[in-house]
Amino acid sequence: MAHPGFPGCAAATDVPASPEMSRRAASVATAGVTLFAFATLVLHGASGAPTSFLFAEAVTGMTFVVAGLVAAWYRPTIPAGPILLACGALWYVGGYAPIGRPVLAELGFAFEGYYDLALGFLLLLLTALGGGLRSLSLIAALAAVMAARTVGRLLFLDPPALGPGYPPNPFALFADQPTADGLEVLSNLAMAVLFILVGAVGVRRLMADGVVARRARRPIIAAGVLAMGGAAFRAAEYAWATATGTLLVDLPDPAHEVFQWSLFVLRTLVPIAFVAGVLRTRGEAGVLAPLAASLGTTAGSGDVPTEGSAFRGMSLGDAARRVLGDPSLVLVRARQAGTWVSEAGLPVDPPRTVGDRWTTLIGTPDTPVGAFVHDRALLDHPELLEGVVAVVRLALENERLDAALQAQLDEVVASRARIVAATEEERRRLERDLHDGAQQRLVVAMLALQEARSLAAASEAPPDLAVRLDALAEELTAATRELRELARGIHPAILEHEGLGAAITGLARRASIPVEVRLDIERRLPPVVESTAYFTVAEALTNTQRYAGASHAMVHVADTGHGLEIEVTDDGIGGADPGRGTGLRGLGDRMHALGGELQVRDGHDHGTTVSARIPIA
Amino acid sequence: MSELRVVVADDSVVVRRGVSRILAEGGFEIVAEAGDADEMLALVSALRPHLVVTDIRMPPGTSGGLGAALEIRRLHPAVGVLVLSQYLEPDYAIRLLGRGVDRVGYLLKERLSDAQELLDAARRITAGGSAIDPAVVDELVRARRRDDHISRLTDRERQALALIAEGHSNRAIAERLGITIKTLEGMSSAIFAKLGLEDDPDRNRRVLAVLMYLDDPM
Repeated sequence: MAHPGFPGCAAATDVPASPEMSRRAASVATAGVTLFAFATLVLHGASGAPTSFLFAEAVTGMTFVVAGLVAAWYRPTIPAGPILLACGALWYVGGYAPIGRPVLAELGFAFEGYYDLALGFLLLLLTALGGGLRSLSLIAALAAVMAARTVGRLLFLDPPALGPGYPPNPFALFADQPTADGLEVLSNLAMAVLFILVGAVGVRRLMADGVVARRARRPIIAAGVLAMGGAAFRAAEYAWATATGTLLVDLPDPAHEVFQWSLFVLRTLVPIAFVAGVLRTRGEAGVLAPLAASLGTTAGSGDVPTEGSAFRGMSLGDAARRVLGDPSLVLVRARQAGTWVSEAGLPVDPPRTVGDRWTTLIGTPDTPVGAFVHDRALLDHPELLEGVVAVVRLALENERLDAALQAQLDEVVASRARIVAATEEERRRLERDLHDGAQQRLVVAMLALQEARSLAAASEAPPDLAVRLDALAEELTAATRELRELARGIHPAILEHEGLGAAITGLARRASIPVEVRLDIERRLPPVVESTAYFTVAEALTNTQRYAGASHAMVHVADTGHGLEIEVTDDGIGGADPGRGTGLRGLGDRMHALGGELQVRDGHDHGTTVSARIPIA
Repeated sequence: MSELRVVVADDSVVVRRGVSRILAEGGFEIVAEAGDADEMLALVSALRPHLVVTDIRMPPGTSGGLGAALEIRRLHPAVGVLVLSQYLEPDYAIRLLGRGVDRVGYLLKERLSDAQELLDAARRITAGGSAIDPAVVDELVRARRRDDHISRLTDRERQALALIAEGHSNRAIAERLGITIKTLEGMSSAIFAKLGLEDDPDRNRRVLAVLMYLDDPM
């Protein structure tokens, strides 16, 4: 089931706001026109009209009515439905002319032919060449001329030219045969010219056609052009007959009969072509499946390619141009900030409908994700356009989500790196504070103690005092030692002063098993890199000594120019699981935060290898 | 012989005064005190003292003391340098030694709780020798326990090796170990033989040989 009123496609439009309302109105109007047609036909029948006339009359009018209903139902975005329904009603108005009843016949004769005016209007609407103004002036001129003919027929013509034996025209307030004839001839001549001009507009449209999508409109326009030809011919015939009293084309039967039937067919061509066009484009949404399937493969979303997709690697804009058959189509994307960017990513003005360049918003009118600026002719394919808009909307929303996700990810990565750097700075600060604060105070205390000891030695102090002072000195020394180890564990000063090599050599020295160290570092590296590498080696060696039962370990640290590669191997029994305990896992997290990685290969009986790589920015 | 003249440098006034007091009571003459590395360098250039006692951690930065000490070692080889450090890192000591152990010392600050240790180190340095903190030497010795040569030493021999590395005189070592100098000389010949080192009669070169041996990674 089509929903021409889908959200996002109804913006920037000058047609009835609610398709449901226009459908209801169209249904009511259809019922009304049908009743009117029925009444007219009953009157005809009662007047003894021949069956062939009744048939032609019924079929012609009802064709317009049915086409109007179909158009109103499936094409609520263009006013084709109301116009076609009006055509049907106007057709039956004209039908009262030969009915042979006073008043009704005069009115019918005066208002005969207006459906051609409506048809011309529809044709110009569908071609919409060169903007609306010129087309409207043509229709306005046509309407004015037809009104003049109506005035002539209604107010000046008496008796009506409806055949012999007609009663006087009750509306003929200014009955005057020469004026009536003059108006009839002039207005019909002008009408013939104007109908030809309207037809010419349609012909120009047919010739200028470049948009694939407009092909669906071609039969309708062609039919409209033919109908305009027929209308021009009838107007010319009226002028001719009024001026000369003879027929313009006087054919003997049965040629005359054939000619009349041809005119009848001509009139019904437009509604028939219109219904055919609607029915044809109804099935177009089928091409959406491959487009939807290819969404993952179109540029910009970069997903797994779909096998056999016709749109693989295409940009979203190219895919839309291809599916919609409008090479002039432009896809603009709406940014969250309310600005718009072109397919190339450059800032552009907000899209607007200008002339034939129609704008269809993608997304809700309040928060669009993008828009198509396309040929107005695409409105003939609402199901297709609606489908493409829906698919592209998904793609654009995906793009937005991807971008938002990527931005979030970037932010998380950046903030993780900042956190690691801040932690590093914090550790260093802590180490400095310990040395300059607590440790310094301990040294001062030791000096004071030393002074006390020499005083005690020089005086008559009890021997106990010297012993207690000695014990105190030992305590102070032990406290200094512990504080020193604590500070080194937080952040070794030698790492800051002498670099990674000296710090790792120190680690190896203090290890409980022999550790072979190979260093290929010729320069100082960023502090966060040095400390991460240092703590990785320290943690790996700690694990080796604690759990692996190894007799020997090897540390290799190499600066490759763009990164630091670290490898710590031992000959133990393994057991260094990065998922176990927080040591290696925490270091792995630190590595990731710096864009590096940490791997632990547990060779069980063949020792453990901890390898890591830290990029150097 | 005139008194041994000393410059004491530490960014903490209290520590500076404490160190100066110990040295003064021990018979050294304190000719100047400095609060940062630059001041110390200027004073040493001007006064040419026998000894500079400096904190390793001094402005500028957090390693100005060590840098200035190295600078003095380079510019004024006759000036003894004793670095007081809170870092048990042999690398600092090894760097300070450079190519010789003449008139140089690296002592952990915790030794300040015993005046004699500081004075002993100061005297050894001004006498042309060296004073490496026992804890630093111990770390070097323990790091070498993987070495077959070291494991061949007896505990007593290892003690003697450490004392040699610390820069003590033969007499001091013999006293500490409670043996005669003759016995010690025999023991050190055995130690050097076991380590595959050439026994050098020059004390400083002997110390250096031992320290370099200990620091050699493998």
